[in-house]
Amino acid sequence: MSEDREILRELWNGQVPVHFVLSSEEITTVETPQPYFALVPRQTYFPLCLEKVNRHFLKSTSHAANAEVWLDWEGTPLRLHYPVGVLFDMYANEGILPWTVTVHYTNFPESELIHLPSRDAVEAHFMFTLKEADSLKHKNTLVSNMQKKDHKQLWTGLLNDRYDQFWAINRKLMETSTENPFFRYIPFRIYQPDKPFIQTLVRPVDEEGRRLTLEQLLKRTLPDASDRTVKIQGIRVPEQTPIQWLSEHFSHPDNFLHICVLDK
Amino acid sequence: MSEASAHPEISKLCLLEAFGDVYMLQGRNQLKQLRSSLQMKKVAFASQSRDVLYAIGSDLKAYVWVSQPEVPIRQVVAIYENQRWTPTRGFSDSLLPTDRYAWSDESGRLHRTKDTAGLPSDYWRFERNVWEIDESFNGQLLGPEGWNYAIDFPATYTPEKRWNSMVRRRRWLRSCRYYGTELWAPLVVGDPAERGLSFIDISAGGCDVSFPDGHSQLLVWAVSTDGDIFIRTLCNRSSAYHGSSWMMVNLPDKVEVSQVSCSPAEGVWAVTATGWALVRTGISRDNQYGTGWAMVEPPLNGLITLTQVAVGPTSVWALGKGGSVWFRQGVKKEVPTGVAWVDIEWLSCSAITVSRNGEVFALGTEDRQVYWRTGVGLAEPHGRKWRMMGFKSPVHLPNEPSRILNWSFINATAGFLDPRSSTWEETEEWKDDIVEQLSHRFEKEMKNFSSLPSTVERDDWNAVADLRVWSAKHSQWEDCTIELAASEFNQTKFLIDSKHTKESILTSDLAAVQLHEHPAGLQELWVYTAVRSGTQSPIRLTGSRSVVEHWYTILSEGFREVNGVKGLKKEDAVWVLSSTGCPLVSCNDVTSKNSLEGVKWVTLSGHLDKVESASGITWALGYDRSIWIWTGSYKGKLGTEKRVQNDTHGVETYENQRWNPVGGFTSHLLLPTDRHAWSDESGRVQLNKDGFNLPSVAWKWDTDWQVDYDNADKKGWQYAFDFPFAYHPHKAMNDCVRRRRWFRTMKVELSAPWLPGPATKLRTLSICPEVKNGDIIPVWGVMMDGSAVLRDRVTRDSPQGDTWISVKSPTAFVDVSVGPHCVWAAAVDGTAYVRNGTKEKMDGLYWFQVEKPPNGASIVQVTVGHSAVWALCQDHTLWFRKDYSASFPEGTEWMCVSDDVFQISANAADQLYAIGLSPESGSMKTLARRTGVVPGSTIVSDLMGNGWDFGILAEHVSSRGIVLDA
Amino acid sequence: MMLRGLEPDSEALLWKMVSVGEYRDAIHSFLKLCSGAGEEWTPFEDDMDETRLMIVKKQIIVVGEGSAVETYDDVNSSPVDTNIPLYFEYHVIYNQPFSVPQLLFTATRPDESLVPLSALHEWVPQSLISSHSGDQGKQYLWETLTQIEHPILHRPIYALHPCQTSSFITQIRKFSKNWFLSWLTSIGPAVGLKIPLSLAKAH
Repeated sequence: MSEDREILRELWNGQVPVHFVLSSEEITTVETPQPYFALVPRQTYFPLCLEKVNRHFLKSTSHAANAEVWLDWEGTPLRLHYPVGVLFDMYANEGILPWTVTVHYTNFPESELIHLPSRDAVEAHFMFTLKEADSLKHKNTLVSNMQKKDHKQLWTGLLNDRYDQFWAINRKLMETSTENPFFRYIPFRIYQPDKPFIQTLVRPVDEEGRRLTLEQLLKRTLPDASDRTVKIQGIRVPEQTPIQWLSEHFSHPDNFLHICVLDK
Repeated sequence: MSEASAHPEISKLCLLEAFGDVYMLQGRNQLKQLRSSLQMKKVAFASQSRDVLYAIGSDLKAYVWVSQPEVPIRQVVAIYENQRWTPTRGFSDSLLPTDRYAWSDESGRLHRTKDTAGLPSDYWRFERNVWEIDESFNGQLLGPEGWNYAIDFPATYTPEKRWNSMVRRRRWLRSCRYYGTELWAPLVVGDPAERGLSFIDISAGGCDVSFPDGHSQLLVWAVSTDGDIFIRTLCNRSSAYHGSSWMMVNLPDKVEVSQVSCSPAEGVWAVTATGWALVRTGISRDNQYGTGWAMVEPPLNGLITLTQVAVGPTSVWALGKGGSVWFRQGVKKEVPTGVAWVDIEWLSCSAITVSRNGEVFALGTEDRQVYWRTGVGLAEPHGRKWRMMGFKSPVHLPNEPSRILNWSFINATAGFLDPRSSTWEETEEWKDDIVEQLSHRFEKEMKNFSSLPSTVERDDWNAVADLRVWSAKHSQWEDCTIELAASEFNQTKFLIDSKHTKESILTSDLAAVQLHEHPAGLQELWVYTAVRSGTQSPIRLTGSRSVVEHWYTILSEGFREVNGVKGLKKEDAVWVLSSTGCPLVSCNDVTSKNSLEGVKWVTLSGHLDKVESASGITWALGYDRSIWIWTGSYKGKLGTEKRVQNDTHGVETYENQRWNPVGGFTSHLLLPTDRHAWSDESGRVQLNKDGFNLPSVAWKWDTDWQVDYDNADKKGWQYAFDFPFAYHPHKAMNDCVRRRRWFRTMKVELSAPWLPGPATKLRTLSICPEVKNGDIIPVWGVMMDGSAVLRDRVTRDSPQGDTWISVKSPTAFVDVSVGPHCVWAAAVDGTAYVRNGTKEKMDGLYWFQVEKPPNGASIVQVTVGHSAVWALCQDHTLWFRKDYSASFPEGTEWMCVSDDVFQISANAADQLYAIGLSPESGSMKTLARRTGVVPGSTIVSDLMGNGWDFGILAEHVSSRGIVLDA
Repeated sequence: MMLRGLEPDSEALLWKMVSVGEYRDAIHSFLKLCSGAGEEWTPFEDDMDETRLMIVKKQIIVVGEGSAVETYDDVNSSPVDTNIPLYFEYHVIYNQPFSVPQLLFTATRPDESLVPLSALHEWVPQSLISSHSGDQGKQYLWETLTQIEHPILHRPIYALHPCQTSSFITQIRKFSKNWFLSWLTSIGPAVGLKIPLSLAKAH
């Protein structure tokens, strides 16, 4: 059991190396600014952690300090409301590290990207996703019955990278009992390159009471996919892993399992 | 009552090892050996709820194993007293020559007297000393005399004497109890004709069969060496599953049988010597043994020779001579022989079995691994494929990780197994894979880029919680806030802030962290720091369960990180037991520390009363005196053991009453000077039955309140003239008081890294320190009756040893301590004894008696160091034996050292550890070490030391694992 | 092959949650009502998944001075002219995790740029957020009206958060004959959706 706790910590602490480059369209100075390298936590969202990046680049642009940032990878705008780790696994996939990402301050692609202009917006999005996960997992939603301060603690735990603070509340959302050792449905989303994400209702046990594995979940949602690499939290999770366990341990802070399915 | 109605949570499988040892497997990490000196050749798992197994020994005799039941197995032995009426004598034992015996069995044909009435076998004992008259007959109450009257023997008996009743009889009863549990008891052979019977196979089924009369019974079939087939009759609980006799079953002409298998439901198959299969036909509800046989041709039109058949609740499987596996298709109630054989691919098996719920298990021929057939169900009755289940070397004996158990046989007939459940599933595989990948991920994505700045500030972090802290000064719980904060110099501080307490402790100053359970279900977190750092140690915190547990994890992980504890030391460590029986092991170098303050302790799981660690092995005794051996593990990062340790603890209370002329005996009119109506034995402490609380949530009551009938009357009362005089079971004229003893046991079960040791219960034990690797380690013990014993062949690789050797002693002992040259023991009379010659001969040569210390106090404990011997007396005084040496182990005289000492343990480095009272800890027992000791010195004062150094709170210590530095 | 949504819990049928079947029935009867009253809602169906039944309505709202609504633009551009038509598109979908219907919408200007969320927040009638004031009110808005990834079309769209919906619908179901209509007419106006009275009367 303490092995599980080690895994939770390890996942929380995961960071990815990113190489931030300012888009050529943005540069207003003569000199091209140096790129900015940083380790970004997998569990966070880009809009929350670009303070230093902005400070670094805005010297080279003519934009105001609170311009809305957006990023792209090789021309593809990055959905900033996805956790950093998910974007990394999808696009950096086995490429050269650090992962190169271009920074923009103008021409926000409104038809493609959701605006997350402020911390409040990210918080709202995070809480919304959390409530959705909660609704899927539990018959009687726990999150709506929590006190306001508990909601805040989850958010600030994520924001400030405080594992203990976050998990002090999150553990309640991950708890199961011996009478009821399974969630109602597993909150998950399957991402594939250039396709919209897939989210369906899947129970963690089958009709005979056997625990469903990742393999079975994939079979139900992607019956046609054959040769593929499946990554969760940057790990090629073994397909015999039970999804109940995965939901309890491999979910992102929003309580969703973000599963990346890539071609081999 | 069919056993099938009980759904046990623990599923079990029975395995036989090549050497003849029988094991029960309860999940992938829980292997329990049925300890016995007997070797078995075949084994049959008959009942899971009662843990009953049958086996054929290497002596070809049949045996039965009955596990310790919750309610003892009892039988009532009955004899009849018969009398006839004559005009001259009325009813008397003068009977007609044609009559039955005056004392007989029910039929009247067998002579039975109170003295000769046989116990069913050696394993039964009478519970009470007296025979009792059966006061009821057929539901009617008879008079106290218990006579039934009739015209003659045998006729209809009536309780009333009628005008024509010429005879009468009454029944005497005496209950006896089965004591042959937890061992292989030979099935008693009643009939002289059976005496020569030897068996080669046995199978027990029927655990799911409901019998017409409602009683459950096991159906036991066996094959004799001559190829005949037998049934064991009446294998029910009241016979302790021994049954009464063997009954031969007719076989078709000239057919000899070599193997038999009985289903947990209905069905019996056998294999003949020529490799054919035999199916028992005519099995019905009224006749579970069937009436005839049907022959079934082996697979491939007889080409295959069958060697084994296994019958499940709805299926039949078989093995061919070369290891081929076959499934019998079409077996139904109407068609018991089935229809055809289906070849089951790829695995060559040496044994096969079907569990009670239809799961199929087999042993691979070559690798001797346990395999499970996946996918067995209604849709695919022969399953899909074989999956290896492992269990190669699951026995985690310390120092024995590589021991491989070679399985020779497997049986799961009575087991209700779900191999898909987490107890069996090979979870380690995918989890190990994940753990490994996580470290690769770390390397690839983070370690190589560690120079990059992070977008988050990870260095300072805070964790805060609201709990309550115990303030000893004010004797109350106070609300407090605890916090872990970063401090200067990259350390972490543990802060506690309450109304009267403000503490700040560096995590590097933590000595030990423990979690205690309370009866009310609350948990307490105990944090030990150096006693002298000014803080009250231990700091006790309580609060909501999840918060307390969370903080226990944070602190113990922090503790482990700071102290680099990855695994525990098996040698050179001091063991200590806390007041709740929890073991702690020192994890840093104890000897080099000048003071016990610097010693750090890691908590292990367990509930123990005594622990002894020396020469690389650790034995311990539970409160119920059973022996446990440490597995040597505490994997820390990768998870802890999943073994189970249990302990029982008995509590008692006395019900006291006084006689008065009006109401007789009652507890209401006790004199003011009397003891309480419910009290302890001394009478001084009031102990109501419902005043007993379980010490913690981990404890459960094992039995309900029971009356102790020992040395008491029928209702359990002991009478005396007054409290407290000699108590006797019958009320004498002058007896004015009486008392009755009630007792109850509680038991605890923990997951803890302890293996059950030898099945004997010991009062105490001692291990010889400083034994070199590979040599035999002398382990001495004192049995419950005070006799001294020595465990044979204990080594680091085999810490449980082999057998007990009795050491003849002139007296009974209460304590023993074995040193490198001799053995000291404390006797019941308060003197000590020395056994010399232990270097030459394992059990030594002679006992010498040593006098009591000058103050006349009785010695209750002794401990032998390298150059010194110490003794502890009943009055808590500590004495040093002057002039002890290898050649003169008796020493010359006792020298007083200290008082207020509760337990002692000396080691080869001549250090003396003890449990005493420190000035700061008040009345709480603390670990102590003798200061000023110069090891190996010949000067008395150097060896005696000059003071005490104190450490954490503890109840018991064993320091004999500490070795002398080179 | 039609994927059926999983069978609803028995609880769903009682209250709080709306089953797929109930949603579909409500949509179909609403559509019938609409065709009778001249309301233009277009249904979109996914053959593979019955939970992805969506109805869409387009509406133009003209904004200008003196109206109850004032538009704001984002920080960078100049103050807006009066009498600008804003193009709204409303979607009603079934939110499966919350088991309730959900109202989504887009609001674009004639130049196809998106009306920013901050503007929309100002738009929401005070009556709806009167219980929350000041900062709390602002946060309440963020929690209630946000931009999300459309669950079916996977592009940015504004949405009213469904977690209030379930308890709201429970209330409605107790005393309303047509809970769907009651729901839509209650929350629609907050985001400019007008349901003609004739619909309500027609029922």
